[in-house]
Amino acid sequence: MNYRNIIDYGLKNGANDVEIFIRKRVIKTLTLETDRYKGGMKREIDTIVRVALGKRVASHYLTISDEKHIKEAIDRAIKMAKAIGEDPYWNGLPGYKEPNIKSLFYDKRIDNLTYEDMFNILKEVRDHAFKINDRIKGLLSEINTVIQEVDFINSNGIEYHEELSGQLFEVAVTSREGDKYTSIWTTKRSRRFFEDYLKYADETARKSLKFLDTKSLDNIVKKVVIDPVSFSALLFHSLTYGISGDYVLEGISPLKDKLGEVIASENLSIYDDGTLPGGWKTSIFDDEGVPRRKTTVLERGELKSFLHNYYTALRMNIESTGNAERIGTNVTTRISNLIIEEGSEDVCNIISDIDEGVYLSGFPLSAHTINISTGDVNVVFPEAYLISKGEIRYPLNPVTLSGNIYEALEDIMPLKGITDTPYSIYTPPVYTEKFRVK
Amino acid sequence: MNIEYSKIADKIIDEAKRQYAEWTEVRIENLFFERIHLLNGRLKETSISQYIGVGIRVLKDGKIGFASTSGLNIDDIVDTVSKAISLSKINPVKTSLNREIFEGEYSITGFKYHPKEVEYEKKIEIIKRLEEGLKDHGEAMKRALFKPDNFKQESISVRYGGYYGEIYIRNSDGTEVLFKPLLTGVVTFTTIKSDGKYGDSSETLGSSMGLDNIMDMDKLYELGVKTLSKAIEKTVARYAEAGYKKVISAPRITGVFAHESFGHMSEADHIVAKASPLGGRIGETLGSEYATIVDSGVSEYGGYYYPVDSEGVETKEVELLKNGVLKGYLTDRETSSILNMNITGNGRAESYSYPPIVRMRNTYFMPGDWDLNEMIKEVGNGIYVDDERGGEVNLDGTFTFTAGRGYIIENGEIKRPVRDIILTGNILEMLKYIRGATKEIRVEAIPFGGCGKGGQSVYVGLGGPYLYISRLKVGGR
Repeated sequence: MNYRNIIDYGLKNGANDVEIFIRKRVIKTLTLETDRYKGGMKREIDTIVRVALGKRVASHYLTISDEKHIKEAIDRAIKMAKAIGEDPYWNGLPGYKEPNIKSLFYDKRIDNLTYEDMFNILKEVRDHAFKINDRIKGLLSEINTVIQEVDFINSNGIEYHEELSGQLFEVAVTSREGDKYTSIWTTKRSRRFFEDYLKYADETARKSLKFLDTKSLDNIVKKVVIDPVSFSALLFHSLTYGISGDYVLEGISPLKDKLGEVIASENLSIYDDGTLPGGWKTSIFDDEGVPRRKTTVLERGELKSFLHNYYTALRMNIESTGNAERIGTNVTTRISNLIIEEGSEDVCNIISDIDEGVYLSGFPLSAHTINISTGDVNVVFPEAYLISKGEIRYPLNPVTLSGNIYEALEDIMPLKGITDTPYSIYTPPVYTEKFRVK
Repeated sequence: MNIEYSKIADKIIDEAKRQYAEWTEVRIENLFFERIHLLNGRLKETSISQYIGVGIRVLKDGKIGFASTSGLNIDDIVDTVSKAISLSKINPVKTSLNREIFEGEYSITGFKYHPKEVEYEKKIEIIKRLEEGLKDHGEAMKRALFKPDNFKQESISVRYGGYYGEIYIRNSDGTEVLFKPLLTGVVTFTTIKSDGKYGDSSETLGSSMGLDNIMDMDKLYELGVKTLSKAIEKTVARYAEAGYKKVISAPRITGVFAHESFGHMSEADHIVAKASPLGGRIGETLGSEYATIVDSGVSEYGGYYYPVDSEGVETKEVELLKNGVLKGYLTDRETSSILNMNITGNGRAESYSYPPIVRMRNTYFMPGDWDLNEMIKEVGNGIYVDDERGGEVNLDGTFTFTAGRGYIIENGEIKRPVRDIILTGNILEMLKYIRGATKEIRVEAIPFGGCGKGGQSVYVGLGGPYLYISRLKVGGR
């Protein structure tokens, strides 16, 4: 389809800026809940148009991508824009810039994964888990594959097409002994094909059994080792908003006045890299056509940059960092792939030095309740282990971690070994004494 | 009924029959979602979304297949039928469905202002009025029970949302229903700072009654002032001391207990999968005599008007827990057939893109006979928790919820404010400690967020009475 005609249609009808974003996805899903299979194939279209009449901006989303409907959407958006007030900061759409990467890795093997393959994998996962122990009572596992195409065009000369593949796997295992239930889950996602499902199912099932026999944590503990998934969850729900240009400009980020200041331990360096090979959020352009790039966020504890889309960058008189992300019709700023540099200390060495502490693992409950404005944390870890006299001893009843993430960053020690987590955050385990665990 | 939908459904059912499907279900949706977001005086988002598409579910040789497509292009739709059929072929598990037939058109009435018919200028007026209330520092300081000498307002956010349109469901047995959902609401949020301490607060107002509920300009102003006054109180609030306490939960927190902790365990797909601790326990006493929980599609207390589910089944009110005794589960066509139980109309899908799964509608504790002030006196020493900030549960009943703010109760009186209170426990344990509920009950639904399960989010009504729990673990910092 000639989208340029539609852009011209919008311009002729009174818009100064017009942008069309079309994402087409074929998603295959299959879920196995103990012995019930559920699934489906969906063909999804997300078409988003954004128009500006001077500084009046409005958007329209629809699930159709034919010319007639897109033009109708432009008409409605123009009507809306006429009814609303001006955005004093609006300064147009970005223009074309040469991208930093030329192509994306598209894994044909994901596209080739058939429903038969998916059925067989889930069946194998279930059979494997149930064979481990008869105290395993329930299993939920799911495979998703996504094949995605994006077409983007704006009235300022940007036009591109991208294709991506993705694969997701989730497994949750419920175990029971008497009245005691445990439910442990894990998830993995990748742009590349993977087939180590049994490894994840096996680990999850064994962990679920292990947590049938837990003990209480008697004392409040401050020496805490946090595994990569747990640390990512804490960062995702706090720092990733704190460094987002959107949240900085709206006064919500506690880091808004801290650019150039040392806000974290000198052990901590963090960068965002939308060009990372194989990264979940890697793409040639961000969601408004600005090339993805690498941006240093923290360098030895000093806050070097926030993450921006075109709009927030212009408001701060700098260049966009290529971090525009569309959430519905809203163009916000979010991390691409956030990388925490690893340290030199091995996690085992740190544990061996701890007389009394806690090892936190897996997904904390209520991580989304972390206060974005303050960084105050009050979350529960269903997977925690007591560290005593230099060794991990036994699993604990759910423990509460409380404190403030920004205070913790001042003290945090990244350890060795970066892991890719489901939050698009690549991080090693970390050690801190700034939280309280009870 | 809409003739265009009916013709598309004919075509799908004929095509599926040609490919030897023994049962076919068609769900056609044409839905709109309006959003306006005013952030710090700037219109951050003004948008409308239109969702058009078809979900097709077939049963062939006793096995289910599902596929969906965006748009109403006939060639795509026919191809989608084939995809659903081929999925059913490779599904190794035979199942059965409750084949009860329902017919009718469902839409809520008794309101004046449908969002489709109200101009954008009026909706902008609504959010501007909320903003005015949020900016009234003097009035908010007067209302705050506890306050600092002064404060600085850091951010003001007001959102409006309107959801409406048509959902047409037809199956090859003869079920044919048209549902016109409607949900409108507003959400306020502000952050302030005083003496280095942050305070934030959020309030909601929403219903299935068009814009009538949110066009009362005085009510909107009041909501704005209330939001700010609660944020002010939070700047002087401390963290609660951790430990087991007597707790009074405000309606939205009570709603979270009913929905998140108990409701999900009563969903029959978890029962069938043997993943819920409620399996095989109907008739068993699980809680105190004051604990009665229902799930309802159309509730006299408000919430989301949901008279018919995504399988075309008319919704029934389900008494899940009656005076502490487990009475029922929530079923869809498949689980009601497998468990040989009544069908309750809980088969819900986020959109045409998803197959229906068992979901709640409006789930809440029933009111009791207490007055809130009497309840506070009865508690003597404890904690009052309000401002639901989300939480999480495991299917074993373990929960952790955060209340944004609350008050310490001492000697039967509200004393000092507390903030960011974390509530943890297991619902099956907590139910035993419920000592009463107030007469006052509030159930509300808003067109933002929703309940998530299996990657699908649906609107639900949340709320309930004030609830007195005589033992609950409270965490602070």
